[in-house]
Amino acid sequence: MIEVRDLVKRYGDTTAVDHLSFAVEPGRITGFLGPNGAGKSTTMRLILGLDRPSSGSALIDGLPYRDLRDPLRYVGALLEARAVHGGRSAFNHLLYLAQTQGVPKRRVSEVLELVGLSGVAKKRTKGFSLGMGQRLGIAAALLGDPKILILDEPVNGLDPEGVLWVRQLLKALAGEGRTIFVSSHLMNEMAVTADHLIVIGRGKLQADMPVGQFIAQFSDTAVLVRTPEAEALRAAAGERGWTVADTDLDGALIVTGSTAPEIGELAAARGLVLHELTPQRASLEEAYMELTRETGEFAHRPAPAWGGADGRA
Amino acid sequence: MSTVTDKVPVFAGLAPLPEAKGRAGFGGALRSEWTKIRSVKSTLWTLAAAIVIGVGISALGNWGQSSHTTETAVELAHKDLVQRTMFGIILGQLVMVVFGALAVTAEYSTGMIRTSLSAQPRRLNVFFAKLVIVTLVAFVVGEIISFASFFIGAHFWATKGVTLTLSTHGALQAVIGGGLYLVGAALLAFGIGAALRHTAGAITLGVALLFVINIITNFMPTSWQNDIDKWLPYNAGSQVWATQHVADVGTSFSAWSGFGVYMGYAVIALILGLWVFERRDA
Amino acid sequence: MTATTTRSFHMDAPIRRITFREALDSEFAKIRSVRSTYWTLLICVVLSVGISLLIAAVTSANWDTLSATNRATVDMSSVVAGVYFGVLVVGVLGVLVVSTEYGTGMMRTSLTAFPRRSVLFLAKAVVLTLVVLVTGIIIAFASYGVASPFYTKHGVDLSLSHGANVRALLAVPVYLALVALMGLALGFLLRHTAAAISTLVGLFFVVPIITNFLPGTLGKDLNKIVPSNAGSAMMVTHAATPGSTPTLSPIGGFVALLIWTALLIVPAFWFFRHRDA
Repeated sequence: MIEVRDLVKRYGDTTAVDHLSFAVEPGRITGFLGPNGAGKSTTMRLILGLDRPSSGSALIDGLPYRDLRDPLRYVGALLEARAVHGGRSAFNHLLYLAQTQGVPKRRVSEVLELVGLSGVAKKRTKGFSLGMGQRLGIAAALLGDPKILILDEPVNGLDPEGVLWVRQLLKALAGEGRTIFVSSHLMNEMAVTADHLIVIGRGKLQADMPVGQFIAQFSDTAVLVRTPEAEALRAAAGERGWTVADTDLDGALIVTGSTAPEIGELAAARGLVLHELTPQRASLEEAYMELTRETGEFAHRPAPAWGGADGRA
Repeated sequence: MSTVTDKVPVFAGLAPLPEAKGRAGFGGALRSEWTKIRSVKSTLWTLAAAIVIGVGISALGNWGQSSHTTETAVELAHKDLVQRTMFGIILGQLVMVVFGALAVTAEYSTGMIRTSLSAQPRRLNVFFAKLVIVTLVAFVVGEIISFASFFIGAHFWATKGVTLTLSTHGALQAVIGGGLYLVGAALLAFGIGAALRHTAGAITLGVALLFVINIITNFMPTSWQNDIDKWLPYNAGSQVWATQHVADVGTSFSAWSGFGVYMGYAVIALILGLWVFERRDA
Repeated sequence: MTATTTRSFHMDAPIRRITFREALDSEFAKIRSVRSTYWTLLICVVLSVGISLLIAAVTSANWDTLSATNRATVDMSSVVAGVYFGVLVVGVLGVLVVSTEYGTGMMRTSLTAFPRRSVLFLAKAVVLTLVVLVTGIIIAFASYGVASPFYTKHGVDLSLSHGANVRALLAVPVYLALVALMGLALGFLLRHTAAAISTLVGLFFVVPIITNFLPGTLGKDLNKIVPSNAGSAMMVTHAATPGSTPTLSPIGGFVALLIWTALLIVPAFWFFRHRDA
């Protein structure tokens, strides 16, 4: 288990991590989200003992990272896949890591086989593609059969098959009781992978809850309604204070501010015919954007429409 | 809880490891540092180049001098020919500076230092394991250079009637000292590299201390040189591979006092480097 | 139905080739924005001037102990003696201007922006030369300012109304610029920081030691033309004293140094144009 207690890191005038406290539990996949510059990488580095905190603590099973015996047997980390010496072969890169922990040599071949790099094991890493480099980083994280995995953007550069493979791998590892702490910007992937979310913004904790709860809490519920009596419905909804918006989906309406049962009952009470009543489950992406809209330091201006509708009303 | 509906893939092939035995020991660190050095071809080429250049330049210089000298064997016997045979060390030390500096700075320039330090958060282990391996490798390469240079040079001087063997007075100590001098150059650069964490800067500073400083003091008036000259790293250190201790200006140290001063500089650099390595953010 | 507007996207500017002027601007921006450039040049100036000052002060304090021949050798080249250190630093700077681009992979980005490689090469060379020339002028005149009083009070002629003295002072920025270009060339040729710096150092500091050691006239001739001795010859104003190592004349030194620079730059340019990135 990873425990972060009142963690603070300042660089000069900037506070990168601001009194952060959370716990990452075993047996599930915890997603670590936040806008760029929110302090995710800094937090991970503090957990791994690469930087010293200004105050507070980050503990692995109760111990600071530096006090762990054979840390790679406890924590497998992937921070920067590109941090390898180009002149060294993949095999030797993993071998030198293995030797620091007394991990047997055959293990190196095993993890290379697992990530699909045994064919290029003896090739110099200089020629590796982005995806291959990433897989090497994952192999390094798995080298010590660790209880805890800390991964920063693990699927960066992988093809769809690779992305799926990582997802299955992480789920299997979590199923074995390991602690998985993953940061990513791919919302859709995170939505189907993570069980629990920790969101930070401007160095502060913004959310710490299961995925489903996060989505429900931070997005508007919306219901798609198709009815031949649009005007009547609009009027009825307006009386209740709900918002009705048009879509370009063949006359459908989006009603926000209420639930499907409520709309159905209202329609029934007014004798309106409904052809479709579908709750729109918000995506993680929408929930996340909603939350970080207020806190995002590096918010983008909305892109101008280059052509065509943007898909959703 | 995981909600995988497909059968659990791939990971089935990976047998779990036995329980972690103990702390990441110094032995493991040593093995790992050796792997780092032997697994990069350019490092091996650098060391090979040191040998080829060090011995080659010695051979060239001694051949040139011996075939053109007009001095007799008796006059030559009064010169420090033993030191002259190992003349290539002057260039060899440059390659050793590169080797010593890169052993540390390459980890920083590739970003590998973060991986290495996550694996071994006890940084002293890493530093000293690296130091030990660099010392051993530099020692082997250094002694190869000094011994080979000596024997080749002795061969050339024999044609002038001067016999140089390891039992010649002071020769054995000087030849061993030649290798030790080269180790010192690597360690000096290692310390500077750890302190500066920048390849070009470390090499430049190492070169400045071993070469440039000698050139600049040439401009100083003789009386100043009398006091300062013998303290310069090259002047002090090179006494350990000389059989006669006569300086161009002023006095010189004896073999081991000079070497002590020289290693003193290396130790200062190493202490600084250790402090930076241990304290600063990766 | 929400009204959406479609906009077609087209560039108003016509596509044309990058001019040399733009390449120059880009290279200036690159060299200025790297903080280590400032530090490098600052260290270069401070140390070169500082060393010149130190030598001047010590020589002046010990003037009475110098022999007559020694005193005769004190001239403008002693005033700017610190440049022997500066040479190393600007050479390394020349290497870094190129090798760091290769090391970070930024060279590929630069070549995408400037596919005409001769333009990129020339722009780098011009920018480097200008920067180092300015630095050299600062070093020369600052050294003159702080160091010459120590010498003139013993009667050494350092007045700037003598052409030879001015020539010696101006030789400093020229020497430094040519060495920086040699470093640049080595950076392009070897594309690897440690290797290029080692070669530069070997050429400048080790080769003279070797030629000093070589016997006979061959050794002495080679010794005259090695880059460091050719360069220092440019800054000498006194006549050769008996028994000293022979050197080239100042003009000879300049020509020799030009040839050395060309020997490195020409292959570097050729290789750069024809090799893979």
